[in-house]
Amino acid sequence: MLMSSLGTVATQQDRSSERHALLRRLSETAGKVFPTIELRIQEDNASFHAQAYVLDGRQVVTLLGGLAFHSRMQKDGLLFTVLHEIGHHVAPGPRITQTNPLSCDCAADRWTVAEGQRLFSSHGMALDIRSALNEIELALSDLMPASDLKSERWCFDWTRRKMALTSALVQPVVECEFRKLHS
Amino acid sequence: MGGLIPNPHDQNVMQKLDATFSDPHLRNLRNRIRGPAAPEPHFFSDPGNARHLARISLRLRIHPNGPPPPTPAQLKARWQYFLQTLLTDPVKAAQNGTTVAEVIREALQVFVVTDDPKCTAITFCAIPDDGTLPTGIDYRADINPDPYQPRPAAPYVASIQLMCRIEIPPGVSAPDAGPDNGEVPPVQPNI
Repeated sequence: MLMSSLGTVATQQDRSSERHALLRRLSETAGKVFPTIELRIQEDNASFHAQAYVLDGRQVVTLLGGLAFHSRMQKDGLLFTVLHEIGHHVAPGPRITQTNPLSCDCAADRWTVAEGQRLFSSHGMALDIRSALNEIELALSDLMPASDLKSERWCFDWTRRKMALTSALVQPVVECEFRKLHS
Repeated sequence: MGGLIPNPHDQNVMQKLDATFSDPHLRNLRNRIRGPAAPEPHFFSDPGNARHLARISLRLRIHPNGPPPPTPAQLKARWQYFLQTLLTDPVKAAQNGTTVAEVIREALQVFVVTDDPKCTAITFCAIPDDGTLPTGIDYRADINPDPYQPRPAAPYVASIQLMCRIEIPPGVSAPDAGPDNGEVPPVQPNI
């Protein structure tokens, strides 16, 4: 949010009624499964970004317009994003920092595949994880050189993150991989 | 900071901030400031001698530093620009009749010094503008509990949340902030 430079998405935006309906459906489902978490979509912010945070004691998930309306992001990519952000609020395991209430990214990812997708599936929104990762990767490829996806610079190596998310064996996170890499 | 594609430089600086302002580092910092033998009682706020957030950050060794690119030196210079220029802009960073940098510095004085030991830690976060930043304002520090109101009687963890309209522009830089009057050496105490 401070130093990132994934950039903004002025073109390649899907502002169709179908996209708005999909975002509404995501929001309604999130509200049914997690009524205490507020899903916000900031339509006029063109940054490719989503974030979980606590504001005035409320648990908030925000999708910025550059991500929510990116034409490469379809149902699975957006559903994964929402689940990952909810995971920051509800996943067990390591925190972003030792005093931060939010779960780290590794724990949020792991919760998404181990628990989150099941909860949303029971409300008619099934997640195809491979399709989701493919959509996100295509969107990221538009925003940065492909070589950057393999570097530690972004999300501690996208390739490794993908492998963990698609592994048949989902193990609980005991230590944040980012902190392990950079401690 | 809880993003889909986390930026390691954001995460890196947040880790440093949260680590510095929680024990054992917070206790070490307080030992430098409080008590009859404390060498530097005015680390954050010195009556008659201005203190600056950018200098405090430098003295506490807080800045993003990896992984490259950019180089650690470039990241540090960009962070210093953020503190020295963006958060001290009298218009775009105006808050409570002063600037966001000053609001944060004053909150640190309250949480670290006034509320020792009741404030057990401070957590830091940056979040995107949720539509509540007024036109022409790029940053706002949301601080909980309010340092100007009575704080909880029980021990608490404070939070300093920076709402941002813009990210730090790429390529900007500033040299290290110069010394504030009345500083007690070393420049970077070992906390």
